[in-house]
Amino acid sequence: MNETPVLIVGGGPVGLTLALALSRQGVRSTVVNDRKETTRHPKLDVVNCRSMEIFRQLGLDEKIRAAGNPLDANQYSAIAASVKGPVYTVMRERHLIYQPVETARTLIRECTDGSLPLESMQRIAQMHLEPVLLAEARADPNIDVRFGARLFGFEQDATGVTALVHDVDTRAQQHHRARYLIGCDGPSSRVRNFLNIDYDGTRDLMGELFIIHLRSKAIAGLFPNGQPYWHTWLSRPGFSGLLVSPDASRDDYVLHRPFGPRPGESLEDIVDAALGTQVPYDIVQSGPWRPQFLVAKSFGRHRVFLAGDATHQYMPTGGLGMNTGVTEAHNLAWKLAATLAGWGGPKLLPSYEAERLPVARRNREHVKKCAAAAFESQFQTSAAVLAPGAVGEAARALVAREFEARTSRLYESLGAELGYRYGDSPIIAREEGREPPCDEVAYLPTTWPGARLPSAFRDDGQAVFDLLDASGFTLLAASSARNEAERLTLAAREAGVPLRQVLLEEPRLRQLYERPLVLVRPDQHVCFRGETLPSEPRRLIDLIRGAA
Amino acid sequence: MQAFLGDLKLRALLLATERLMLRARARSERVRQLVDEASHVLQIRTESGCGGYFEVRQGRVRMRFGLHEAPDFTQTWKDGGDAVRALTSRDEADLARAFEAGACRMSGSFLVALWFNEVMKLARPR
Repeated sequence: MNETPVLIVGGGPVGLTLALALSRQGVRSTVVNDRKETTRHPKLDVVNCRSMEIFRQLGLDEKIRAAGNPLDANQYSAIAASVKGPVYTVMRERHLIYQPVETARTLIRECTDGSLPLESMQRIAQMHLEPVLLAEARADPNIDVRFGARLFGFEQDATGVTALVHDVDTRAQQHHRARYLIGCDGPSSRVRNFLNIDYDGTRDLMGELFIIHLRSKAIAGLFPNGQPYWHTWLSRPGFSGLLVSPDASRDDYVLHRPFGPRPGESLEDIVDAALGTQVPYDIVQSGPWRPQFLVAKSFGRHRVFLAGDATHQYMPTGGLGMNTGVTEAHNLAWKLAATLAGWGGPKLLPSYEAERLPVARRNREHVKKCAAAAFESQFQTSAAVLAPGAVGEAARALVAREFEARTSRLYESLGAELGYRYGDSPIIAREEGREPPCDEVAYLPTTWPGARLPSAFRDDGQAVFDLLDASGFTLLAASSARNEAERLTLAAREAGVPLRQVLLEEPRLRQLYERPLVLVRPDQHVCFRGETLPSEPRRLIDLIRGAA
Repeated sequence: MQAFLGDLKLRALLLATERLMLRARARSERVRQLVDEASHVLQIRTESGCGGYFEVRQGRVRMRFGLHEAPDFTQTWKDGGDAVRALTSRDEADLARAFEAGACRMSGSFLVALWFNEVMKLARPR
């Protein structure tokens, strides 16, 4: 019998992120995964800003960036008749998202109003992200990684979960005993099925789309400076699609089509039509797939929880599939760690669903709007886009305007990435008054309880996020609130809750953070703010640790 | 003659669709929720001007023949027969095929089209 505090079923990006986040907080885990190796296909193509902030907290940001798109390479999104052209427009400088990471870093460092994330996004394929996370997990003594092991079943009781796992080759049985089991086992989650939790939503609203994974050294030459754009949307009479280059320094491309080959149409016909020319390439894989807009009705039961695609399936428009899963893992990790350490109260783990289910639903609506926007941006495409002269120019300009107005939503929605809040959570100290707007597209920095702390830098250049305790709470206090901070520290100590004090002297930070006392959780979300502490600080501590 | 028949089929389809939606609203909680939450006009027409629109407001669905002044979403088909073929297909991608082939133009909010897809998916007899 393998005994472990946490058994994670699923060794994809979310399961591995959860294991690594637990380890950083001193919690051991076992990861079982039915696949024997990481994926060989590009799959996702972005680690978004919020996920990169989380990976920075885990000390993985530089390793992930090193495995992905070069720091000086573009992250552009274009729309064109074909890859060869004519190109209607390229979104490159209108938002942080499109900038090479090097440029984005400068913009972030110069930002003083908290409106930008601490980390820019990283263009990277899942096939290159997973090996980074897996290598990190395998090197971590707190993590027992077992690939080629499939969950057969589990039972939970008052003190833990007993799981039976089969070796996929030998069928040899492994018995595991864990305090908690987490299903990060994807859209067909066995854990979710065993719990009899269904998805909420209607399947197959978009029908069957088609995907072609191809490899080519020549395609890069069709782009300026031989550097492929991240996304090239294709729109002309008789053809539409999207060519994705998950990494400008590599030869992998993914071509998306709204339906499979027509009768008599070959894969090569489709690729050639997308490129607008013939260059050498190899087709690695192709097939249909069905995008979904589904969210699980519940995120777990008792000692078993779900995260990642096990809780939600989204169309990739907006890049919120794995990225929502990473924020779920981040939310769950500290709660598991706190509960296992004994300072987390009985309401702490149940707050995972209370906080994350509304975010999953919000993200689903955002993704649906993004999918609609991607279709709408092609409505103005007419035969004139291929015409010479003023008529053609006007037609191309119209498509360009529609694209920039609508499809930009897929990329620029920092409100969805950073602006989600846990305002109705039972472990957040609610505040009277009017909550600031919470838009899906525009991110409004705020320390309203439940919001992610706005990112900022101290006068010495240090990121405030880097001062936060990843295993406990951090009280950001203006120097005028030093005495109040001491009272809260005392109350936390009495409850055995780790709490770090950070005194902020800079007036601009005092202004940005809106209150002299801002209490931040291990997942970088604000759980209390105030001019002063409540009369009984211990009650506040009990509330935020789920013991009130 | 072919265009006339196509238009006739489209009108019959619109009428049948309204019936299906009303029946589904009475039988399916999800359809009721979708109808209750929606406020929009979806128009399906041909280039020649034949067609109708579904007005969904305050928990009610009404189909009217003719053209609406300001629909939220419009499908404009070259031919009524093409519209009927695509809209009665169980393959949701047929609409995308028709759009790409130039048999159908679209304008307005595609979210309304997704709403319609979902309602029809739930409303159609299995």
